Amino acid sequence: MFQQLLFAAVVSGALYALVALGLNLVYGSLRLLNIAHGDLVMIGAYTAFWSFTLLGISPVVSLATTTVLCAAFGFLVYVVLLKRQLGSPALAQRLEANSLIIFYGLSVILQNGASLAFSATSRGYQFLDGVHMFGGVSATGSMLLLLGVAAAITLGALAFLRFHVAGWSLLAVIERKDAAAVVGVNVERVQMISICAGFAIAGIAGVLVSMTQQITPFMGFPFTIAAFVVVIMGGLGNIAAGIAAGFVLGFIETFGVALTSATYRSILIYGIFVGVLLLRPQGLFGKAVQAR
Amino acid sequence: MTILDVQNVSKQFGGLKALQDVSFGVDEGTIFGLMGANGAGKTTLFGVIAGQIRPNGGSISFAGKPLAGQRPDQICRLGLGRTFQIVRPFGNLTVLDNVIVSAMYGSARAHRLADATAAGRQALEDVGLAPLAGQLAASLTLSNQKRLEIARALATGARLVLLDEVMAGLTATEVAGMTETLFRLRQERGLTILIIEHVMGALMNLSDRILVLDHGVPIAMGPPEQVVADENVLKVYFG
Repeated sequence: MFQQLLFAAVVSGALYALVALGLNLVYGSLRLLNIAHGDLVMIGAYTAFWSFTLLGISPVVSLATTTVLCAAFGFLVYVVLLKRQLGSPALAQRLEANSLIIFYGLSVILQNGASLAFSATSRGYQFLDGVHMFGGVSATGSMLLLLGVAAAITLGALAFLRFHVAGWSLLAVIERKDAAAVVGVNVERVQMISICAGFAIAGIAGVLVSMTQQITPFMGFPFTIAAFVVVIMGGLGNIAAGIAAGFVLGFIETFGVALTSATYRSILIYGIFVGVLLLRPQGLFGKAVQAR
Repeated sequence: MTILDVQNVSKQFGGLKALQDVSFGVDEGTIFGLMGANGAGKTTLFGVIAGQIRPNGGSISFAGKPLAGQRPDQICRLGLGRTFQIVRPFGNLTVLDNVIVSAMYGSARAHRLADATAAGRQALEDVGLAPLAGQLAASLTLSNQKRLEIARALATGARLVLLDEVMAGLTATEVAGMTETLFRLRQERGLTILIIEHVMGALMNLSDRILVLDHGVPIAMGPPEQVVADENVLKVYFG
């Protein structure tokens, strides 16, 4: 029983870490609050669902097509909605607040567009649903695939930031945009790549989710909330801590629900949200920002 | 040879005229001082030269190339580096990784990581930070973070660096050390330096020429001994 819960916690933690990674990239390098983030998870989920049911394409292949699709969508959003505002100092100052409204609009459009196109019916498909037993834990193939892909991407991201000079330049942009620019880092390009990568990661998470749960056009919002909880727990813009915080949330949620009941799930998540904001607004692992 | 040529640069923030018709030239291999009270427009001028602030009028050229419309990272790759008055280290990176990023992205030449690492180590050596290469930048003392600012600008391969109050907050011994470092950099690297400094002794000692700004208006320019004797400067500083 305990091992089973532990496994469930690791799987949901990996998923939260993955979803939050995308959100954190966009916040970190652009200081934009993407509350449409969960809706990109939804887009990824539907891409996998329709590819599988209509065309018989494996979700494994959809991981690649979704990556391209969502990255292209991120590029479009960057060029059409954000580029001009980021380029003007006066507008850029207000963009962090305005981004809430921009992405809220985007979220409404995506949810209702999907609802119009696909209907609000919840859907699902069966892929790798055979159960494997190991060490007292039973797991479906799709859960193992989810865990593997999420772990590969999050660990890959950590390694990139730790060991690759381009990762260091990303950290530089996240921490001190103006200082990064004067040592030759093309901040605009880093921001563009970050938003493409952030959107693509959300899409990939959507493909993974679609293999293990029912999907609807409105499935995104809980992921947006979970991602914000994780990102705030880790400290906004702190990529590595955000990944760790994803697992923290997965554990608290899984064991919390097991000890109480599923009806307490939202209370747990929002409770953590409020608790962290009240007690450690700089994040569990962050250092307090000095007031100046 | 004039490496930096500033012609009639003006900048206005709303109703505030931060810079009015500022013109000067900096010769290659010299140290050029910028003087003026707080709010005189010195840091704004740095922002304009480095491409972070768009001027309302005037033109700037560096090594014969006009800088108008170029992004800060493009200007950096032309060979122009700057430091910040309030230090802005990449605190989550080690001291060495800070300068490797500079060398990798700031230089005009295509770099391999090994080359960037070598250039970075050389820059740390030049400012005396080599022993601290492995530490996180956030853990350095203020005086060392100021050195890191300079090292980052050097690692880009800059021919001209804009130094914004690199001596403020340093002890007398540290000021002497920094002065010696800057002279050595000019000597060894043929570096041209444009420097803002409130530590007057150091500025007089370092500069070949000095420009004095008062509320965005240039009021005197020339060798240090001539500038300190200038009537306008005396009026602004001593009333």
